[in-house]
Amino acid sequence: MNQEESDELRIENLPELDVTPDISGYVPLHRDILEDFQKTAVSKRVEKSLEEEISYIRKATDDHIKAILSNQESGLSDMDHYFFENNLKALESLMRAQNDLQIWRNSVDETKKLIVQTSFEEPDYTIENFKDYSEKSGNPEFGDNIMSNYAVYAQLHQSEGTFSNKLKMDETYHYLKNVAFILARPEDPLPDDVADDELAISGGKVSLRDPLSLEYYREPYVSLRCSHIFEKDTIYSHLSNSNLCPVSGCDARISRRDLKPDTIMSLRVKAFFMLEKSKNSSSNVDKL
Amino acid sequence: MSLCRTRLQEERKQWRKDHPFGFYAKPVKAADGSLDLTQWTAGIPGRSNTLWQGATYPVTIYFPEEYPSKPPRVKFPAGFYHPNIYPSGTVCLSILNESQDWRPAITLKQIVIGIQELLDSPNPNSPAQEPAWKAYSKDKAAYEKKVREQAKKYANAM
Repeated sequence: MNQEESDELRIENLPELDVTPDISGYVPLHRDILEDFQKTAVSKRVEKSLEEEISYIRKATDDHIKAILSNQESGLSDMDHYFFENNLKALESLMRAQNDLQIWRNSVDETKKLIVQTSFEEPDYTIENFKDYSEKSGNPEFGDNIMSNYAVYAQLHQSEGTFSNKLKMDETYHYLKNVAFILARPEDPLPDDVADDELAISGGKVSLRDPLSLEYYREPYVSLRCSHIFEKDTIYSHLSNSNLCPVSGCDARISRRDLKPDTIMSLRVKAFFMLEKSKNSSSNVDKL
Repeated sequence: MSLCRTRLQEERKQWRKDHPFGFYAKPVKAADGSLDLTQWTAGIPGRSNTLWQGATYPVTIYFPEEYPSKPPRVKFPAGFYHPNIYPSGTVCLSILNESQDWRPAITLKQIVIGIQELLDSPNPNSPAQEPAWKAYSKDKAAYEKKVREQAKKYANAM
């Protein structure tokens, strides 16, 4: 069995191959080119497994946060910290792979279109133009075309920041990034929100205390009208007397319907107590 | 425990941890030696480079049961000389008025700093006593003399 045959065999053995879906069967293609086409076809399985991995990370993150928040007694551990950081890294590299795969697909498709187009425009192969054909063999090869298209696309995406925008738009990535940040620095404003002066920031720190009772949050609720955060019980009792936001200088009118649990703040408080605890225990070690 | 008590206990903790320079504030001791968290005494220092400098002015702060839904009442000694302080000593300040700018999130620290600011920047649109208001709007020299005399009365110990 020669090399060519074994390649063909391998390709045919893969079941979910995406073979030249953009080209109708009647387009006449040279056998060599058809083989090239088949070789560049990326299995749908790759995309599918990327998607599966990503949604697995999403679910694992959600479940983990739910578990942390529902358990009132226990705080966070270092393990949680690693869990979120590693998930964040994994999610980023998966999304990058997804992005690169998309660019690759685009460049392959473009190249295929180009080849199909040129094969349409070519005059019929006759004995008269045989000489022209043989001279045209200097045209760039299929593979070269793909590579140059890929380079162009990759450059374009790079300069337009497509990938970082994609990351920014991705809710899970955003959330996970915030969580990882908060676990390390529970009292610091989120990097994306620094310009947002609506947040309860005093001296560059985020207050972890309910502005009504001044106690640490246990069940923080955020007002969707003005982003101010309160302890559930105290804001509910405040709202039975008044519908004005309790924060000085805020004109928002709020009702119970405008309040929803603030998981980021819950995590901040948990992370804060975890850090305090580890600080205390390490200072005890120092004493010993 | 009521929200009023919880909040006042936290206010006390936070004040002890950190408070603005030159101020003091503490709950009043009841006859039996226990602390009454709803009544505090506080000292407001006059800002330097103002007529009020060099003295710390005593106030009493009364917190109602409905605090922090309702604002506390702040009183200087009766007869305190200032255009926005009633003859009884009660301070007339928008952030201490429930129907004006009071908000439950305003802290003790913000209140005492607000009062310090009021001392040297009276609000001529809400007079609370005749003598200081009249002098302030018509006879600045007399007003300044009176304020300086009052500052001597409450002067900081050297």
